[in-house]
Amino acid sequence: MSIPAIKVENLKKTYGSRRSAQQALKGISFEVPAGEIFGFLGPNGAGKTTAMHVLMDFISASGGNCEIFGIDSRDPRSRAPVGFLPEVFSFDGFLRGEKFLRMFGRLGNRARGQIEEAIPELLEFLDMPGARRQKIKSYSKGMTQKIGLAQALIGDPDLLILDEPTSGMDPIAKIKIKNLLKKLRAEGKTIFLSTHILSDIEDIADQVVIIDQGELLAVDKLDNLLRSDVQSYRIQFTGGGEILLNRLSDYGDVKRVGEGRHEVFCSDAETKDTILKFLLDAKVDITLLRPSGATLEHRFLQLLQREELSDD
Amino acid sequence: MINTIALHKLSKLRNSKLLLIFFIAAAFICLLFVAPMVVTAALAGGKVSGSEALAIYFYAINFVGHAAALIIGATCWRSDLRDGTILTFAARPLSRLSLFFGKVIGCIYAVLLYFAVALAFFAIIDVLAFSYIPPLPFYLYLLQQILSIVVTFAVVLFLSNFFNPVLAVVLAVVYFLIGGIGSLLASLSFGFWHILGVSIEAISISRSLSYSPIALLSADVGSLTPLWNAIGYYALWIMALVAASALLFERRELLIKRS
Repeated sequence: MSIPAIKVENLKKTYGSRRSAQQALKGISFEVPAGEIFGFLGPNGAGKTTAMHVLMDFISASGGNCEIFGIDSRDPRSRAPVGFLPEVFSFDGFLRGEKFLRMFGRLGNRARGQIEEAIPELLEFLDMPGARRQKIKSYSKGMTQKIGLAQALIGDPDLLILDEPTSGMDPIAKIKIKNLLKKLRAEGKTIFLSTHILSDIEDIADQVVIIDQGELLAVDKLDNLLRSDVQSYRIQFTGGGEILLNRLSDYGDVKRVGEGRHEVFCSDAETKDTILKFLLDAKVDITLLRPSGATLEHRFLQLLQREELSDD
Repeated sequence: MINTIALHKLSKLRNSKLLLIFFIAAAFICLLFVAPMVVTAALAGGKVSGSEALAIYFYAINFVGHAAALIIGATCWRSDLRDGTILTFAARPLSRLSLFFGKVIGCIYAVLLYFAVALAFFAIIDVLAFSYIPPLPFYLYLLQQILSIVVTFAVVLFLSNFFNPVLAVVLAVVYFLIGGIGSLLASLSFGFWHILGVSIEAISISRSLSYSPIALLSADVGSLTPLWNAIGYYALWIMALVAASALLFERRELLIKRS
């Protein structure tokens, strides 16, 4: 069995003195398998940043332990394969992008030649080639976040720990970051991504862990989480005659959605399989099959027992 | 790695204009004290000796140097914690001690740079007005003064582990003042006050070991022992205070509080 990229065991963190103790983490445990995009979800104040800061050894745990690729996270060597982006990235504004990345490449123990090669590639990759000679203080909020991501990537890390990486970015930049994360996963890198913006993670994460008020609510594959929330199915197809449409109407609600295109809704998996069989037998073109109601947001709110928000 | 952090710290201090302010202050004090001396002496038909000018100049330089050390020491790592930049460093495969010593060495570089600029400034004035060549013990005196300023830095660095920068500076100044009062009391012959003075002296950093520039330049320095004593004494205090601060920093939680 391969070593998990991150292993968190019974992690606890309490802030303050005994009298005013505030338990930020109440014994959470999970593992992040290598080579996956792992979403770390929770509302604001759930304890995500605290958990990440314990993992990075910025703060000490009150109990439990964390490992990064099998090394105790309190050991500085555990951070050698890690690239980290804090929630609100800021750095000394007097530095130019190039000098900033060069410094962090050096601190990541990368060879000088590799750093010099990586800087233009990274800036190009993040769509900010002009940032090389610009001072950080002249960057927009989105550019600052991107240079933060570039410093996380400059050491060519195997594990990226990103705390709200798309914070302050415009929608186009967000899509680019998502594509970048997918590309990094394809290269075999592990991405541990904390966010409270569910749409940021819904279409890229392999697994998610959901926490609230320092407690673990769920750890599962994203597909499994969504499957457990399926309420109905929506099937679209092109073609098929009157006989097929009549037959389908016995099993679900059939609607015309375009020239020669129809849509059928059914309420359970068994009916869905029957409808699919009819469609395949009729040799029509199935253009869409989607579980309806299965959104991460819905499932997330359900876990947080806040359906009233979902209804709104 | 430590040197990369140290050089970055020096750049940060340089870019914050903090060093520039102290350079300007030192130059201003120099002009304020040395120039009138030269003019007055010239009007009286005499000439200020290079040794006198150097002595007065270095009084001013040391005073400003201590003020700089207080501010630099109080913000050595605190400013990085406040602006959140410390997390980007701490996320690298560095030990806490490497990070701490990187920051401290960067601050010491700033003190050395301040002295180097001060010396260069004096050298220009000296070449133009005095053509005075300082004696050999002067360089030991400089070492003594650099260490004396680093002691001030180390005291406030230590205090910054417990207090915010402003309070740390105030407490460091109070500590040095109490040390001075302790020396005064210790010199009294009264029993209680003398004992109190000696007790305060025991826990304070004595400046009485320092060799003043006037004593250095006017006296016949037959032996360099007093200078070496002060250098050794300051070096020990610096090591003790920086080591204690390093241990405290190693256990510290890097909590970023944003408004």
